[in-house]
Amino acid sequence: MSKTKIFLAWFLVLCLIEIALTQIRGIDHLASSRSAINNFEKQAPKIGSKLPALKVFDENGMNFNTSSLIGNYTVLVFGCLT
Amino acid sequence: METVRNDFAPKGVKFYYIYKSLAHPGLRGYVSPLTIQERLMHVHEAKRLLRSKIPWLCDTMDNDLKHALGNAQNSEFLIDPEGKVITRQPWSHPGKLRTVLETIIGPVDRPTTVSELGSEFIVKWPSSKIPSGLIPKLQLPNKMVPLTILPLKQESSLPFYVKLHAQVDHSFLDHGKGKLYLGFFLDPIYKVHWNNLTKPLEFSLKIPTGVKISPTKGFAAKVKEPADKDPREFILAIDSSNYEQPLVLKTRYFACDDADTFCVPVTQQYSVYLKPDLDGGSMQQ
Repeated sequence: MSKTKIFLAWFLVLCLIEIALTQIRGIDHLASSRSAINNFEKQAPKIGSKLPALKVFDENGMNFNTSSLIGNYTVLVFGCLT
Repeated sequence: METVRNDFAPKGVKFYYIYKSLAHPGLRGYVSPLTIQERLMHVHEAKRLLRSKIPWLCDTMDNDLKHALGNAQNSEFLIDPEGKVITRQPWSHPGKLRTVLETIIGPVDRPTTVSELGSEFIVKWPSSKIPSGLIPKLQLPNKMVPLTILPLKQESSLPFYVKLHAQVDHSFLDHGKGKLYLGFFLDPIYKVHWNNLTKPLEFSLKIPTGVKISPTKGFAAKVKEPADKDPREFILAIDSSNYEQPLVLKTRYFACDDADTFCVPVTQQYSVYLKPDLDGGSMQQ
């Protein structure tokens, strides 16, 4: 077998391994996403229940109580830099 | 979300982003803040980068609001004027939110599109002239779990320019014997770099009875470039029957700011608890 054929055979094997690993990682990611969603369904306040009154901070570090959100329709979205 | 805010904020709907613990520490170099002041610095960094018109709230360091609202990384809630939950999404979905708001508040004449917001909303992640990518990343076991870390009070008032991220593998969690990862990351909010012209970062561990770790001391490898921004990483062997008492980790390093105004030796200590940090996120290398 020529060197080129051996090289191509190895290349193909490595590609297949990479594809398999990508699939496994994808399954892992899917499983952890499902688990996060299930936990959310169990733990988050139910539709119709009151938003808990908790102390957080505004952008300037001043105290902010979530009870002060009463009086308006309010959208809350969690996020971070990463 | 900005387009939804653009259309419904004038109709009286309030919008807030809530800053919480990092979902993926290490991604783009960002590392978990140790104090509320540092988390507020993250909020300002997020505001600056995203140029969002939506104001931010900052959760406590214990992530009280995140825990109370279902513990998801990017969830979304719509609350009515009485404070009751109307909708909840484990992952924010501005399209669905718009539909709900159109039903409750009324449709908008001409919904804002993303392209109308212009290029100011394209995130330009910070870059640095100081090189990175010089030190190959350690290959870590799959699905390591972050440990709970608390900074210990120090004599100097210097911030933690370098932050520790500690993880263990599942073998340790299941059998008490496995791998302990220690990663020392420069915190980009302080705009600092390693000074490679002097001694590299070192760490030492004080370990309680019932815990075996090898090695208990380490030095980062020398780097040829005079400065860089790569994390300094170590993998240690750990064997423990004591999960209650923390390890005490002491680290020494030189931190220099990118503007070349200071270069200081720093000694800092942490308590490292051999318990998973449920808000520790999943590290991205």
